[in-house]
Amino acid sequence: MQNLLENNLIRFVHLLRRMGLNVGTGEVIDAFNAIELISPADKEAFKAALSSTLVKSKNERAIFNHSFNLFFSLPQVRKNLKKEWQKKKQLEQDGMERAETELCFQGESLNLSAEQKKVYSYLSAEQKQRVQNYIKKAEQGEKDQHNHKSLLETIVKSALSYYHRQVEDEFIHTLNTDDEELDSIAGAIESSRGAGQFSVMYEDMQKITESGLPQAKEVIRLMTRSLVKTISRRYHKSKRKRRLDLRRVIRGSIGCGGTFFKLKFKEKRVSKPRLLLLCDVSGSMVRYSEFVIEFIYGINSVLGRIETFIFADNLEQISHCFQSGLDFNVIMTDIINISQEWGGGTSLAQSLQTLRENYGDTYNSKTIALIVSDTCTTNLPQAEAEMKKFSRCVRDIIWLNPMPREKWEKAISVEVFLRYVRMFSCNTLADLERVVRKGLRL
Amino acid sequence: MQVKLTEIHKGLEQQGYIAAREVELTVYLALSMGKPLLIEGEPGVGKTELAKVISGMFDAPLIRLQCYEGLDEAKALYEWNYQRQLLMIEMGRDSCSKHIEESDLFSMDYLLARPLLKAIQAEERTVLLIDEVDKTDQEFEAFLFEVLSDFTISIPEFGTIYARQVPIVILTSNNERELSDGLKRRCIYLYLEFPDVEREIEIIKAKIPGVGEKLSSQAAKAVAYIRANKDIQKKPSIGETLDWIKALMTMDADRLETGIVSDTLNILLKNRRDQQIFNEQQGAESVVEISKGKSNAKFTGK
Repeated sequence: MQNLLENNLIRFVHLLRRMGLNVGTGEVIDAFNAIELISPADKEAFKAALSSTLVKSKNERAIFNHSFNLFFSLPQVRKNLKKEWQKKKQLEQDGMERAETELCFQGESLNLSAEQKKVYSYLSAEQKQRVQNYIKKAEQGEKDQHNHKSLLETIVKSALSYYHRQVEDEFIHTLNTDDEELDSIAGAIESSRGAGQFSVMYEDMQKITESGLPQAKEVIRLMTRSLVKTISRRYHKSKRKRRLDLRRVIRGSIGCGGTFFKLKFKEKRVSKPRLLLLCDVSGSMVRYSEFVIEFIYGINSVLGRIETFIFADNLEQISHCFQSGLDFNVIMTDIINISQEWGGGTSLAQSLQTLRENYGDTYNSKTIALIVSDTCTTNLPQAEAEMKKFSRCVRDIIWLNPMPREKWEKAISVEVFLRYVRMFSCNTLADLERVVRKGLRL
Repeated sequence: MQVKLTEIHKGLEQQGYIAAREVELTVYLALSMGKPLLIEGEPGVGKTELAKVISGMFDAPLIRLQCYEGLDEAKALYEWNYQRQLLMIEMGRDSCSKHIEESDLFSMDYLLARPLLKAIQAEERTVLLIDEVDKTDQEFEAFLFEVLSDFTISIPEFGTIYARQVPIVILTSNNERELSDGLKRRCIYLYLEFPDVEREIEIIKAKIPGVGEKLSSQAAKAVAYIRANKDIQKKPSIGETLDWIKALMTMDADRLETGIVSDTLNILLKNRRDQQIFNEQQGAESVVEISKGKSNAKFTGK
């Protein structure tokens, strides 16, 4: 019985970690110790024991409560969840296999990723028919198969990318463990994230659906309000003692016959950091960049000058757009409509070169550069050379990378850029708040 | 520390602290496991009050370290009374006075013990309240790790001082900034929310004897309605709710009316901006309707 309890507790901790909670081994040990002090049969006490040892913030509580209610529910409930999940998974699998056969150009399957096939499988019959009709029309045209096939693939991928946001709410999510029960519970929790059951703070920004956007924007608003309130106090005179100001101490002692009665201290003046924001707005990065820009402008009252650039194939300055005083959403809509870079490919080399040649007066040795990008870029050697030049001209470069940290080791681009920047994993709003606060030393 | 859950429940009740079962369980776990208790929550939910109540329960003196920005070791741990030392040196220059050794100047007479050192040196068990720890910085938190992990303090002139009785440590935070993972991991965590309507009515009746049934119920519903507005920055605390009811009773009100709510709003909302937001988005009239149950509408935003 004890082994069963321990085993279940470990699995539950595993689930919490996958949901974004940072649970360390020490906390797991504390949880075990706490359970020994209460009766596990008392569900309320059991929940309190786990909550007090595994949860360390208000935002984590909502995720914990939901996870606890599902994981420690009646066996029948869990069995039903598992069945439902297996059924959905099978349907999804069948859908992806059909995508292989339905999306063919002249007898050859189009070269699509698993994610793209998944999107296709979730489309309505009408949408699928539209895509298939387009492929059929294309088959009747060009005879130069190879060139036309790659062009067709690009068009189909763009269409699927467009449909992605519409259907991602329905995706089943999986932890990819060998534990199907855990996967099914995780899937149920992920599905309810989009329904706004708990805060979007720990959800990957890329996965925040249209229905979750208002909540995300509200979270950003509250986060920035709290951050501004805290930071603005830092610019007041602090009683904190730093270095002894011997000159003032000696001058002060003159009136006391040379005895150092009162010690005076001095500290470095805290000045507002000057920021240069470089946001990658290529296809996969758009959502992250939008949130980062909104967050930074939410705290602009406690920052010095902010220069904002977006880049994909090339660089565009958008700082002037935020001086109009209009609502942030209106400004962003205008930027998206006017920008030629939005949703393009990524060329960091070209973008940094443009920044250096055309906008060199927007930064200096006191500037902190904040880059939001997944490091995936064309012409990596040139990008490295430009980054090296850039790093010599600014005070610090903080890189917010939405790529999961476990993938960094395998990404050469990450290794290259790490030589010049401080890189932080950032794909949730909670990460964003933590990194901006620590990175800018606010 | 050996305690029973029933003792905690009884103790809290006797001290007049009405708490949810989760609070009792968490306090019990923190005391039994001998770990510091970190209480987070919005201002006015009863974090500091809980520490005082625990101190009352165990008859342990409460030693309070009120944190603020710029707090350092000298103000938290100990400081040499250098003015007194300087005076002694000056007096020692007089050839008639006895010769002063360096060790004389670095004795307990010249040491100003601050809260952390006082808690460690105490002969009996104390409750050490580190209040609003989120107002300090990370350097101070790192310093706290050292003290809270072993309850020892090293003073170069004296050596290491060990705690005679390990104090009950309670830290509170208004969540104005994220505390470091290191500090959180060393603590048992409790998030205190504002009480729901039923619990708030219980608290009102316990703290204000003689309050009318109608007034307590309506006031609790009114305050819950005001707190539901996310745009209000400083939500009415439990203490402010009690003050408000006392003010209403002073004005011989036994129920809520629009006029009296408008006149006494400044007791609940102490911020001009919050008052403006309340008037624009909610208003005294809707508060009265909600409190009387005439409207089931919950505040969902502007």
